[in-house]
Parts: sequence; structure tokens; C-alpha cells
Amino acid sequence: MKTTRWLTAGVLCAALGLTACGGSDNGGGGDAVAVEQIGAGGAAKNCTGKPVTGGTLVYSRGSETQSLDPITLRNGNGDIFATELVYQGLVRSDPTGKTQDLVGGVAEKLDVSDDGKTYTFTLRDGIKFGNGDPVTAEDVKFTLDRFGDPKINQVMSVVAGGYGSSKVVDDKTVEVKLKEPVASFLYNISIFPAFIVPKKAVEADEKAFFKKPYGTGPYMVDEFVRGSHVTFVRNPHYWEDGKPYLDKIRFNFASDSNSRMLAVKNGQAQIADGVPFSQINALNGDQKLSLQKAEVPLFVGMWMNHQRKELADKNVRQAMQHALNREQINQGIFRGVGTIPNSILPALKYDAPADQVPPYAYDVNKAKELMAKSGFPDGFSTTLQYPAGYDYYKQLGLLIQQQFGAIGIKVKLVEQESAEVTDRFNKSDYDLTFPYAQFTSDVVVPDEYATFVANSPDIDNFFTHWDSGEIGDMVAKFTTTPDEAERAKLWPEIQKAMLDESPVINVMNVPYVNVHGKDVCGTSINALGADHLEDSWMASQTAAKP
Amino acid sequence: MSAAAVTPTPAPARRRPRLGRLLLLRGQPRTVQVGATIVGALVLAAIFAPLLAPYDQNELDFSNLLAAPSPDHLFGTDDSGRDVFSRTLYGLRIDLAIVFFVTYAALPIGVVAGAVAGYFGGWVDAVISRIVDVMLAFPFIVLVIAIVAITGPGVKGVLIGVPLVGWALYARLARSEMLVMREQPFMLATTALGYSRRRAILRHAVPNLIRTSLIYSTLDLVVNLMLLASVSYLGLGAQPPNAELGSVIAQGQANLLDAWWVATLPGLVLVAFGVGVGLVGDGLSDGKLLRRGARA
Amino acid sequence: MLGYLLHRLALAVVVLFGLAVATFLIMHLVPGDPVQQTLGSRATPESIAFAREQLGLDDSLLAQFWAFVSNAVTGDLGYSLTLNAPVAEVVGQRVEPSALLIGYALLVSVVVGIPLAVIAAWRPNGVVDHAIRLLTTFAFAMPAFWVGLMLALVFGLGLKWFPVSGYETGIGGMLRTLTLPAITLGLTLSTIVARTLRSSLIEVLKSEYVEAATSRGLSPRRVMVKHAMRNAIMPTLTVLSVNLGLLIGYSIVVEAVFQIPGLGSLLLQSVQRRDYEIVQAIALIAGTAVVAISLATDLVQASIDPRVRLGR
Repeated sequence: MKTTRWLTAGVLCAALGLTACGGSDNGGGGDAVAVEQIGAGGAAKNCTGKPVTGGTLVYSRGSETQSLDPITLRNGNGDIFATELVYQGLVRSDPTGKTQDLVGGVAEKLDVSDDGKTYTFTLRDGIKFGNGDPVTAEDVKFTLDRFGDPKINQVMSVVAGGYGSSKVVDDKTVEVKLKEPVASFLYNISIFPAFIVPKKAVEADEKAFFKKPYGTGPYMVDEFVRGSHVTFVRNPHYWEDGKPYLDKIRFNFASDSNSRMLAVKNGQAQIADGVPFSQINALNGDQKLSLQKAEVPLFVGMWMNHQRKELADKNVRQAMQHALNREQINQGIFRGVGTIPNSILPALKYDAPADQVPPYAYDVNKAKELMAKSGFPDGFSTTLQYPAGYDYYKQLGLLIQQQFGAIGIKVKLVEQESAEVTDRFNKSDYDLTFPYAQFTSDVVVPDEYATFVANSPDIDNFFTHWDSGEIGDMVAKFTTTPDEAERAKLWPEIQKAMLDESPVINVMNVPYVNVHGKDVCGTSINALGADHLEDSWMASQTAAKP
Repeated sequence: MSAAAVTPTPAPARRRPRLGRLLLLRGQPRTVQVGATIVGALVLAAIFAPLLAPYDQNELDFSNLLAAPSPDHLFGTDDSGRDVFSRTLYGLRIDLAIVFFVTYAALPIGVVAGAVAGYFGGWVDAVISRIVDVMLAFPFIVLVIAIVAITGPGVKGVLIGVPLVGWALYARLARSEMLVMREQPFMLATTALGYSRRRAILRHAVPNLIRTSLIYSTLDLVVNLMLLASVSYLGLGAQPPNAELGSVIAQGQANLLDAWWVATLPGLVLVAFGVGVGLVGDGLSDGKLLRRGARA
Repeated sequence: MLGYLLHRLALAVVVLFGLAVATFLIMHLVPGDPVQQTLGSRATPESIAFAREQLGLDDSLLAQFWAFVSNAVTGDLGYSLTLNAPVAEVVGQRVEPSALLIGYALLVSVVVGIPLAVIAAWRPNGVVDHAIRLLTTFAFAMPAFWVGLMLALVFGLGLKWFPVSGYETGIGGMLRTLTLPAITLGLTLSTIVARTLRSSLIEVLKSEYVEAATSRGLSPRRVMVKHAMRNAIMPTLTVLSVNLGLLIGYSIVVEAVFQIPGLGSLLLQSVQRRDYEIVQAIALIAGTAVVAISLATDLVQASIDPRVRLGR
């Protein structure tokens, strides 16, 4: 007996009739909110009527693209967002960003065996690569075997855990065997390391191919100049009718946020990412621009080293949670665009809403009581490490120093170059730390992070040295339960238990904030924050065409 | 002619520089007087920053973000509501301390090394000169970033990095001067009088060599101040929360369009100091200073 | 002359070798594992071990240094883990913008500096001379990143004559994108050029042969151009070459301000990500440029003025 899912109908879960699976109707904190305008002047007034074809979009981006090979990721979103335009996985994260669900990609039908160990994919009819070659089962097997080989898939080898082998059944059918059930398997192959690449071209000359690659995505790379820009042109063989609308997209790299904002202001670019929070109000006042925020699994995670006896004390950790004035942090530093978390992890699928799992309230008296109950009633001194070069970490450090100081925890701020912060983190050489400049989940389901924090003895539970006890078992069960409905029931319990324990602290959920010229329409961002520009069009093209 | 431009003219051989007269500004050119007044005022402001600053440099005030300059906040507030004037004063304090330290820590080492190289010549000169060459050919910023990576961000990168490279400049300057000086009668006389080489170098040559280096150091002060600001601009500056002029400016840069004061006013203070020092050095050397260039 | 040439060449090689040793040691002393850094937290220990082996990071320092030097001699600069490409290719892509920027900045400093010097030297200690002196003092005291920012605001955002950042190839693209950065970078140097040339000119104008020329009835303009300038230009060239190192240093900052994809921005990024191979390659290239230019200047001087080569 197999479960068959038709992926063409759109949302995978809807086809299955699983109620708990669609995030949008339970209103949970983990819902992906599609692109949302900030401020009243935001709505793109020019975007009325039907999308028109044509035009070039220039996108000024903070992190540069360093590798176009989806399996040798080198620079986080700089690489991911470029590969998202070029390639697609067998399944995809809902490109509209309205849900955190999966939809069909290169595959249009999928069968899963009852033991959750065999997945059979049927490829989309007539799907072709950008060069016109049809996508075959051989390409899929080639891609997935790369994905499963830790020597090739070096960066995301953890995500490939459990992958066994792939077998070509016929030209359009691939059978994938897992070593053990991996509940998040489909989510794991929906992201970049499993993007389908053409076997023939990659085998012929890998280096040459990935300088100017094509896939089944809406765009193909036209030119890639490291450190400067990458340009994309329309994929003439793209499978969605009429899409994409734009002729050309250009990513310009500008690591300095000021340069990016200036580029959009003077019309050199139409979109810029990474709007500094301190500039939100100023940009909001500009009638020619609109700000958009996208909720993504990005968070300000404060990690704690449980080898320090103070931090191994649950009362202390809870006291810290209550001592944080998140409202002040949100207004003061994030200009109100942040969301107060009810989880220690970023906002993820299956998260229960705040009325079921309430966040910690700001309550200094409660915090003081907890400190009094702890093994350290007179307080203690500790350090907080954070990466240099990010204003909001600096400000956050100062505020946390102030707020923890109020309950007797003296925090010494240690700013380090981000390589050094991460390095020390990996060596468990820290008390409190913001370990990464950008702390995000790669997948929308909690499997990855929950396993990292509660069930990874080989990395000391994500370098926390937390004794996760029972919660570790709960996570193990969750990540191996293939049934979606069951998983949706299991997760909120784990979410709640973890929040109560607070082995680490999520200070704030933070969105991506982009700035757009008013001419840009139909920009959607998927639940992981990647831009899906196949729906984008330029309003000025309407005027250009009679 | 062409050789003379890179080989500094020998300093007047008899006297040590008269610091006393210099400090009192008597009989100095007007440029020196004006420059010294600017520098003096800024140095005093830096020394007495804790008394002069109206606010704590790190006091956050989220109800008063990016406020324009007013009697309450002379230089306005930044994007965390901190008083820019107070941060500028404290920043100046750190900056001046660092810049004076790195410049004048490097100077004596460089002068002695240069004097030794020039006096002895031969393999001693060859070794010292090659080390100097390596130092000057090394991309300075790599060194600073590397030191920052070892010691953690903060001013240590500059504190260690600048003297490490900076002495080489003075050494090259002193060496070429020494080459000329060792042939002069008063130096030849030290040998005739049977003075030890150590005495000849330290007591007789160095005091004469140091004058040129001191004048040159005014230029170096400005260069180092710019370097410090640049390093902060690249995000490798002072350990927060403490202010440092470069980082105050770099941070204000993000709000330049809607809050010009955050980056502009501390920038003007930086320029004022540079101009003050520049005028002093220029006056002392009678306009010949900059001609040797920053890396002469 | 040939002996002098060989001697100087040998010294240059020694300096470059010292530079290679220094860069190698510094980068390897810096904490931070490049592999961990690049692959991140989602890599299994197996993947990390494999990548370390591929890069030879488990070999002894001496073996790594030897591999670096022996490959570098044959033109193979290694493989960049962070960029997933050969170092020579990556660095090659970045040389052009940096070289053009520095060249353009040198041009700016000469075009701005020489007229200022001539005007100032015309009447030493006159009002104009003092004004220029004050102006150059100001220009010298302004941080490069600050000047760049102001130029971008006025000519980029305000007047829209130039883009505010980025880099384009081709003559037109280069002029559009590199003009503001080159002015920013050239400003400091132009003050140095103006001062140097001014005092050289004044000295030359006082000299006997210029007086002789004047007494022969040559016009002051002709004296300035034909005699004074010719003699004053050599020290200016020397100053330019001597300041190349400073120029390279500041170019890193200017590239950051204008987001130019040159060696400076690559260097900064590679140091932060512990990409040893790239940092070593750039340090060597920058060092070679400094050493080569100073060698060339010395040789030109030596060929003009025999005292130089005898003196050493």
C-alpha cells in the first residue's frame, strides 16, 4: 500500500487532504506570511492590470554569489538566491510564500511506501532544461547521488542523512530508497543541494558548466563576474506557461548597505535587499519606494554553553527569558518589524500559535524570583560574544547588558570578527554567543534545528552541551514519523517543552526587509526567503507597449 | 638634484630640537601657532572628555533616535539615541591616545634602527634594509586584519600593526640621513675621541636624526589617524560599546540622508585635528614636509 | 650598470621571499579553521575531513609552505576553497578594476597636483601659494572613505552624473564607474604631488642656470616649462612610486566605499573567511607591484644620475 500524491494540483498537502498540514488555516506563529508591505505609502500603485512581458530588473544584493553550483554552496543566500532562479528540485517550497508547504517541481507525482523508506517520483511531462534537452530519470539519479555523497555534497551533508540510493525505473520514473525513514526528506530535497542538474553537461565539463549554468528554473545564467554581478536571461523552455515575464535580471553585489539604498534611490537598481533596520523609517517616507518584509526562519538566536554551571541552571535561563524586554528591543532596534517568538527556534512549520504556547513575558520581578531560586541568587558575571560589523548586534548587546544587569547578571560584551565567533562557538569556547551573522534554518520544518539542539551528541547538541534528556527522544520520534498529521501533533509539545527548558534563547524573529522601486510588481518570496522572480514584471513595460 | 629630493638634507648638526621653545610657540611661524592652538584645544578636550561630555557615551535612548543638533545634544543623537557630542569627545580621546602612541612608539625604534644601519653599513645595513623593504611592501591592511583576528577586534590591530610597520618608515629616513652624517666632522670626531660606537650613535647621531623624524611624524600622525578611521570604517575598530571617531562616522553613514549630523560633525573634528597637526608640521619644516610624501 | 641592475633584482627577490614567508606565517597563525568556516555547520565530519585532505591542510606548515612556493613559481597560485575556483582565475578577474583604479588615481593626482604646484611656485609665499597650502592641508586631513561618500552623494545621487557604486568594463563604463573613486583616491596623493613639485620648482627656479636663462631674456613661462619643470619632474615621479604602497592600502577602503570588485575587496573578504590561498596571492601581487615600481624608479634614477649607483 502506497500513498500517492499528485503534485500538479498545487499544494501537496491539500491534495492529500491533510488538515493539519496546511499552515495557513491554523494561524500558527510559524506561518509564512507572503510579502507584506511596511508602511502606508508602500503599496505599489503602478502594479494594476495584467503582468506584461519584457524589461530588465536590477537587484542590488548584499551578499555576493560565489558559486553557481548548487551543491558547493559558498556564500549562503548570495548563492542560494541565484541558484533558486536557475534550478528546481523534484519538489519546491511554495514559490508564492503564502504557505510553508511543498508543491511540485521537476516531479509531478510521488508515491511513498508505508514504511516511509521508498519514494517514487514521476517527472513532469515535457519538462526540459534551459538548453532544450528533456529532463530524464538519469539526470535525477545523477543529482540525488551527488546529493547523497558527502565528498561532493560537503556543505549540506547533514541534510542528506538517511539517503540510500536511487534507481532509474524508466525514463520518467525514479525510485529513491532511504536507509531509514526521514520524515523531512521531501523538505530536504526541496532545497539547493538537490536541485536537478543535467548529467550530460556536468559530466562533460563541470567547471565550465557551472560558470554559465542552466536548469529547469525560469532563468539561465548569462554572465557571471565574481564580486561584481551575475546576469540571468529568460529560460525559453520554462514549463510554466507565459512565465517568466522579465527578459533579463541582473544581481549587482554591494556589501555596503548604504550603497544598496543609494542605488535604488537613484534608479540604478529596482530592488535592494538587507535594508538596515535603522533606515526603515527614513525609507518609508520616500514616495518613490516601497518597503517589503518577508517572514522567514531568520532569528536572533542567543546560544548558551551549559558547561558553565550558571547557564546549566534552568532557573537562570528562565530568568534571562523574563528579563528580556523584547518589546523595547523590537521597537528600538528592529523598528517594530520583528516578531516576539514563542519558540527557542526560528518560526517553523507546525509551530503552535502564541495562544497555545505563550512567549515569555517581560517581567523583571518574576526574573528576580527565579534568580533567587537558582543556585546563583547573588547573580554572576558572564560574557556575550557577537560578530563584528552588524549594527544591530552591537545595539542588542548593549540592551541585553542593561536588561540582564537588572537581575544581577553582569554581561561583558565581546565583539569578534564573525569567523572567530563561529570558530569559538564550534570549539564550545563561549558563555553566551550570537554564533552566526545570519542565523536561519535551511528548511521550513523543524527537523533540522530540533535535531541539532536536542539530538546531536556528536556536536554536543549544537555546541550547547545541553542535557536534552526526554526532549531528545521526543525529537527523535518526531523526525522519524512520516505521517504529517502525527508530526503536526507532536511538534507543539516539543516546542513547548523546549521553550520551558530554554536551552538556548530566541531573542527575536526577524524578517527580510527589501526596498523596491514602485515599478516592480509581483515579487514573491518563498517561505525560506528566496526570491521567486518568475512572477515579477515591470509596470513601465505596460507604457512601453501599446 | 634628483637624489637630493629623496635623500633628506642633513639636519643642523649641533643642536637638539628645542622643545621648550616649540611649546611656548614664541617666534614660531603663524601657521604653527594656529595649528598648535587647534591641536592643543582638541587634546585638552580629549583629556577632559569625562568632565566635558554631557552624557554617558553609551547611554541608549530609544525615545530620542536621530535627533537633530540642539542645545541638549550639540551634535544630535545617533540611531540608538546616544549623544553624538559625548561620543565624539570620547572617540577623540581614544583616537588621539592611539595615534600618539603608535606614532611615537615607532619613531625611536625606527630612528635607532636606521642610525645603526647607516652607521655600520655592510651586512648590518643589508639585513635592516631588507626587513624595512619587506615591511613597506607588505599590504598593511592584511597585517592589521590578521592581528585583529588573533587578538579580537578592537584597536589592538592598529596598536600593534602600525608600530610594527611604522618604524620602517623612520628607519629608512634615518638611514639615509645617517649615510650623509657619518661623514661629517662631528661624527668623525667621535671616532677620533675614542667614543664607543654605542655612544656615537645614541648620544650624538640619534639626537640629530630625530629632529627630521619628529617633523616628519606630524605627517605620520595624520596618516595614522586616517588609517585608524579607515580600519574602523572597515569594521575592525574599537571594541564597542566604546566610541571611536571612525566607527562613529561609519555608523552615521547609514543615516547620512536623513541625519547628516551623525557622520558629518565627528568628521569635521577629525579633519580639524588633521589640519592642526598639518599646519604645525608644515610650519616647522617651512612647507617642505609633504614633499617627501607619506612613505618617504 | 648591469651589475647594479642584477644587484637590485636579487634584492627584490629577497624582499618578495620575505613577504611570502611573512604572509604565510601570519595567515596560519590566525585562529579560525578555513574549512569549518566555509562548509558551515551542516557539513558532516566526514565531509570536513575530506575537504581538509583535498586542500592539504593536515600537512606540516613547512610542507604547506613549500607547496605554496613551488607552485607559485610555476604560476599556479592554488585553489580557493571559499570561491570554489582556481586562485589565478579569481585573482585575474579582480586585477583589472584595481589596476585601472590605481592608474586613474595616479593620473588624477598628476593632473590636479602639477597645475597647483606651478601656480603656487609662481609667487612663493604669495596669497595663492598660501591658499593652496591650506587647501592641500585640508585635503590631506580628510579620510578617503569620507571624501568618497561625499562625492557619491553629490555627483551620484544629487547630480546623477555618475553611478553611486559598482563597476563596468569598457572605456565608457570605466569612466562612468571609476571617476569618482579615482578622484577620491587621487586626492591625497595630489596634495603630496602639489607640495613636492612646488618646493622642487622653487629650488630649481632659484638655481643659477635658471637665473642665467632668465637673464638671457627667456620669458618666465618658457623658463618654467622648459627648464624648471624638466628638472622638477623626477622627484615627483619618485614620490609617486614611493607612495604606491599607501595608494594600494587606501584603494581597499575606496573599493569598499564604491563597491568595486577589485583585489582590495577580495582581500578583505578572503582574510575574514581565512582563504589562505587568496590572501597570499594578493599580498604577493601587491608586494611585487611595490617592489617592481620602486626598482624601476631606482633604475631610471641610476641611469640619469651615476652617483646613485655608486653610492650603494
